[in-house]
Amino acid sequence: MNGPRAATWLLWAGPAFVLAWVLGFLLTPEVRGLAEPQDFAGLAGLAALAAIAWCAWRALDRRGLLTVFDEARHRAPAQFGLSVLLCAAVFPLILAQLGKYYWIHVGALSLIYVILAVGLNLVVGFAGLLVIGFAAFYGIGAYAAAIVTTEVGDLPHMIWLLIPAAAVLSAAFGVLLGVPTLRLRGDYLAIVTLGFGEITRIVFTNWDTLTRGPRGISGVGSFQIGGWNLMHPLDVGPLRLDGDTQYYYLILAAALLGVFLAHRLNHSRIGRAWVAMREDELAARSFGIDVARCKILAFAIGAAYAGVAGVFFGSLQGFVDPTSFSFLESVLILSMVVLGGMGSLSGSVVAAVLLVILPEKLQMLRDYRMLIFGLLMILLMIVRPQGLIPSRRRMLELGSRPG
Amino acid sequence: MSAPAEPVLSLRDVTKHFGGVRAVNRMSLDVPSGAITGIIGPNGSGKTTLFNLISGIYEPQAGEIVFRGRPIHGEPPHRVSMLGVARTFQNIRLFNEMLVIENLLVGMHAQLLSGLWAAGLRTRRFIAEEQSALQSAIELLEFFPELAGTHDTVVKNLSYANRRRVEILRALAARPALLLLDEPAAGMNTTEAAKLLRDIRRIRDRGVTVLLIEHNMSVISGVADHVVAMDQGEKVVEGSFDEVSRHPKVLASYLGSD
Repeated sequence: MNGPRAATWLLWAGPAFVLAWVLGFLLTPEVRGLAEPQDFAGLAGLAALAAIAWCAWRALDRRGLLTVFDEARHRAPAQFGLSVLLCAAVFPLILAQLGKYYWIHVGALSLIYVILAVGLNLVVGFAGLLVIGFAAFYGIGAYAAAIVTTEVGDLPHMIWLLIPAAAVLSAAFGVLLGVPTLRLRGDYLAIVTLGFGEITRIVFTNWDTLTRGPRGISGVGSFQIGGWNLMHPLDVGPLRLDGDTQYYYLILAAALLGVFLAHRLNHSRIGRAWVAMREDELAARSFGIDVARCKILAFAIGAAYAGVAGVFFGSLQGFVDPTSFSFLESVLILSMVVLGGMGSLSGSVVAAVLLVILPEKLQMLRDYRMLIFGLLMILLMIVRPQGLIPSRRRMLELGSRPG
Repeated sequence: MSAPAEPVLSLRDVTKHFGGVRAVNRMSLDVPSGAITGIIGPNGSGKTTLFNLISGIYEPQAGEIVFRGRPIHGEPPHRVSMLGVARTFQNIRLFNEMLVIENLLVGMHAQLLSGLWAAGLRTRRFIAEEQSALQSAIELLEFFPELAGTHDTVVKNLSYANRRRVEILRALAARPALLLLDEPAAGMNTTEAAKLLRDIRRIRDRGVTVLLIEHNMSVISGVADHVVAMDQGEKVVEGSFDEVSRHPKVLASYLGSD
């Protein structure tokens, strides 16, 4: 449990354990009611998984393993990255072997939420700006992809251009929201951004000529490379990758890049300025930090993440409509940030995956989903207000260690 | 009463009212370069308001503030800071969740130039800049031997006195020409306070002009080269410590001869 060797071993065991747990969770029989034997098997499975997660968590947390893990992760970031990448990469392959294609789709979706949660964490967790209508930027990206690919015509490679275009468009809306709210803080900012989210949703619903209103837009273009459409099955040797799997890998690459960039920003003067601003705005202003610029930058970058996520979402689903960008969606993304831990990138990643896959098994409780969700959040705030993986500031390491 | 050198900061008839309260009224002041100037006065005499005016947090309703030949009244705090004025706060205002070293790096914010792209791509220049900033932050930390080994400690876990020290270092990290210290010894015991005053003299010896607020006269006696007494937002008298402390108005308003 101590010493660098055990820690290095943890770097491989950790992600592998998470992968096994997620697979186990997804493969547990569906609980549809409380009549069939299958339901009870499912319930028993879920209970066992919950117990395993709880014990693992206690071991990590109480015995200081989380710290050991954290240290190891930062000592050998390349190894940890490789380990996570490997686990994430085999995930859809295993599911495909088992014929559980739907879960690959869920996996791709959860990666979209990773991008969203990391983007929102930059705004809420790092810069300390409580933004609630975040789904608006997500919607702007998705609708941009949908409208352009259906109205202009689905030119083969245009959707690739839509990624930066949606990022810029969403960022522009982020600035548009950021400028008038510069003087607002906390609750007041939350209310204004909530209003912005609602306005955007209502515009999506009512601007019939552009968005086709509540009917939504179908036939959103898919990603293509040369003559190869990522939505069409692809045979790689003995493996057959379906559309969702290929999208999964595409979005995985984007999510990794997103986390990587957020991590680098965090350890730069911009990230420090954000956190300083969150900690004490007056003191930050007294040390040459232009708070107005800093806030607008946070809004713009966070919104850009959401815009990119939107393009992937639109293209993955092939369909967008206003209900995907509702207030509840904003709350869900914010919950991911809070559950994972404010200012904790790894927390956001874990929480995003959890909050996408958990409700999938609670389908039978569909009507009570938000109720359970709310209860869970209350419980979390009482038991662990700092989030699943609390953020820890650490020194930037650039090769040689100073001091 | 002549200042030993050319003033680095001059205030001319600076006035700040809050509603009917005259926090600072027609205050004029020359802060001599390379010296420690102490501002004394009872609580509520306008000392901290004066600091907030100099550092740009408040804008004066009348009068002008000139720093190194350049008017700075009406400039926002981050501009004033970039021009070379750094400060501490009466109630410590550190970035509590950040590491000690990060607090110092935030102090250097204005000297660092790397933008978004440099940080994202981690360019050679970015790495060199961060590396040297980190190096000078580590060196700066040696200014207070008490802070040895605390560079990667989260600030909120430090002792009170050490937080005061980090706040001073954060201000020094900005490489100011003028350092404003708002009651740096507040809450410290006499031994610690005496030690801190020696440290403040060391800051002056590094070539930084210091403007120091203190409401405890005995604390300021051994450290200030020049003393200004304030009461009810106005300057009562200025001069050497002995001159000021013996002045009847100071004795009356400050030391309480009622």
